[in-house]
Amino acid sequence: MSHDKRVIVSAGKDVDAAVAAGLARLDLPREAVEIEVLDEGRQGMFGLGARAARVRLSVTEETERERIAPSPAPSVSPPSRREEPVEKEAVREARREPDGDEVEPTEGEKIQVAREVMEGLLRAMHLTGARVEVERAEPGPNEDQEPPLVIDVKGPGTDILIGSDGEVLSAFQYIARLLVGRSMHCWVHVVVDVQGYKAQRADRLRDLAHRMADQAADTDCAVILQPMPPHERRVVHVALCDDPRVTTESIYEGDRRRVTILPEEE
Amino acid sequence: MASSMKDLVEYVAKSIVDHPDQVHVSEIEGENSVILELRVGPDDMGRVIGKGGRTANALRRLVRVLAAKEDKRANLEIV
Repeated sequence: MSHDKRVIVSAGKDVDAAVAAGLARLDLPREAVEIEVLDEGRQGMFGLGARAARVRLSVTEETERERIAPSPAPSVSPPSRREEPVEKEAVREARREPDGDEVEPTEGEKIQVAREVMEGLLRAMHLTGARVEVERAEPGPNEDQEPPLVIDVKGPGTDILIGSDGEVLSAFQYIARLLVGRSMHCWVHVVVDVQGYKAQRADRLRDLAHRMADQAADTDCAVILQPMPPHERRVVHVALCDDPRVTTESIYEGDRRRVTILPEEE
Repeated sequence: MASSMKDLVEYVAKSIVDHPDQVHVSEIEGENSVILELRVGPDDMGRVIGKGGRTANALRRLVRVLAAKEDKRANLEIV
């Protein structure tokens, strides 16, 4: 747990919200910090043109000493995310477009924010052995789509985040996406993996897809696979999209949705 | 030292609400079970529950995983 929290930058829908969020993160009263408004933000209309307000909170010196003196138990809730070095702040100010709209965060910033959010989440879960790796995935078959940012969590004790059939992993990813999205202020496609589980599973699914396609083509009968989550169904569809012998389709809704492999009529 | 379950709920709730100062989590411990009570500001209820309860359910699932590590059952209530 780092103690250099003297200066943090906090964001919110307006200045008050940004200050409140920052104070909650520092766990300090308003008097304990100096507040500098970086950006007053803009409400926008139906979410268009809206911009988050941002403030810089500097902990005043006495408060800092008080905090360190009684050696308080490290509080988990205000982690170091969104805490940015001052010079980076200056860079971002400079990059702002003339009409005041903020430029989308750079690739490096996205990776950094994602990493900080994930480290905070894992720390809150007391998974102290966990390591976070963030990288941009290889471009997929559809070149118009930006490949996702892949966050891989590794280390001792993290296997509990997978669960049977990856059901815990989907909950973990849901929460992770929520947190990353909130702190990024723009939508970024994020995929969370634990110990390479999804990558391995994708390999197995591709094997399965090809075997079942053979079966469908040989027997001229449709093959219906087990229900799978969207990203797994996608793996099957993509694996077989170039196979002229079969077509694939998803049937049923919700948790029961599954891929069927249909032999192409000759 | 607060439990990992309480810390998790607090961290997630404070990160997604508009009023993090109004987030309070209390833990009621039984012999083999734990009940976590999450309180948020009235405007923030929707955020912690999520569309169709998805956020609340995902959070519950993670809380249960952490509880299982200590051989406990846990429940998360949003009040």
